[in-house]
Amino acid sequence: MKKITVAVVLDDNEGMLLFGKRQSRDRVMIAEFVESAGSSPIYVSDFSKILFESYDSVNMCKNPLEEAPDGAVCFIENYSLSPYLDIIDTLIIYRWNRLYHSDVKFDVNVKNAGYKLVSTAEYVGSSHDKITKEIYKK
Amino acid sequence: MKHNFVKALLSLFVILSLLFGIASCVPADESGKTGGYESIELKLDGVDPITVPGFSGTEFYILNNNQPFFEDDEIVTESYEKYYPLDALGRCTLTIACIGKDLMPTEDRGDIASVKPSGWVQAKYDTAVISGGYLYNRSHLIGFQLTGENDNEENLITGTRFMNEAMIPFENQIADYIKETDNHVMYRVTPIFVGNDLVAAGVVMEAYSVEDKGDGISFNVFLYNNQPGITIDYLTGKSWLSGEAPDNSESDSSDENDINNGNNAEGQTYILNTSSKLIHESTCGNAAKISDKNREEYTGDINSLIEDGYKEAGCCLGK
Repeated sequence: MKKITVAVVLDDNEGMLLFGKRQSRDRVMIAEFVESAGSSPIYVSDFSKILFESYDSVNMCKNPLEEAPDGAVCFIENYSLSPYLDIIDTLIIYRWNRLYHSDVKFDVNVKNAGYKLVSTAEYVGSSHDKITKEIYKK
Repeated sequence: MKHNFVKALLSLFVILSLLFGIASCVPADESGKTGGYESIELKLDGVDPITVPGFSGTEFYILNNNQPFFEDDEIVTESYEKYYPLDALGRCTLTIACIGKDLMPTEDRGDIASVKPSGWVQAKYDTAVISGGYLYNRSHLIGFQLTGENDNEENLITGTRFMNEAMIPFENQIADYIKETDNHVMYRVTPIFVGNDLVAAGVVMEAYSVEDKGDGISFNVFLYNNQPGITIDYLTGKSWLSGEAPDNSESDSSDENDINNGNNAEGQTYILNTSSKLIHESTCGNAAKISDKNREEYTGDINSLIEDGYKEAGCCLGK
């Protein structure tokens, strides 16, 4: 079975989307995500294409959770993760530290799913005062 | 002379009502004054009437399949902001803006306590009923973080805590989008008053990101100016706990009365933890434990703090 790393971005209410649109975006956060992936292949969905237009090495596909190969790093905005927890061995949660409305929320209880927090970092984004990055591993 | 002045005011009211939208409603009770409308009919300029269902506990109702009502010639790429005059009853009528980075505030928020919007009868309840205790906020139609308007009476309505908190996440989304992209967002906020009510039944918020044709931001919602657990007399602004008898004493919305009763939300002092970004009541035991380095005293509107990213501490402010 393949194992992948998945990153998501959440607001204060674990929200991901509102009205089919992302809640927010941040260039510095995206740059940090790409850089931290290192040499691992990055897969994102067509929905996220606009965020990665300046990165040639990023692979676009319909559903990265299905199509990404073993060892890939995926950035997920518009898919439920719960059906894929068996293959997600590392979960990265970026937090906006901001309140937006949402009608799609993160559907994983990280503790119940067997993930353990291994690191936390904070940095200033391009349009967000404080972005928190949490890394969880099984 | 006086008669002519009144006549002119009434004419202005009629014109503004036709231009900017009025509302009719089906009251939920016989008095027709206590809010809780079973439905609200929106009559917005250039739009067929829309019936919005009454408040059921959710914060907002999506209008027009979430497509804003902006006409093509209203969508522009140069920043501007416009606040329309109060009507004859002293009520806000309409605000519209094309918001760009150049309109966003560069200075701290100022004092808005001098403005007394229509229907301003402040009341304090147990924090178990309303987080923070106070029913009303001076709610900016166009939020301070978007255009930097402070005490503009044409931009401030009497809004419940519930509605104000529902407006902020939409404003956050717009503000952060503009900061990130340097694009513009068309934004219109229309308060909806039923009949001669002094307190709005709600507001219509429309937003549309211009340069990417709504790809980043596009919504059209009605936000309810209700407060769970509280019944509001929208005609006057008076309020009481739902299920209890209304207070029929003469209302007094003077600032002096607010202050004497400790009801001046804008004048309340809080203790802030600048590190955890938590707001405490000044008498909270946990506030005393905050280190000097992270401790700050603040007197003013708690919503200003919330818009700046602070949260109410669960130990004292009930959230």
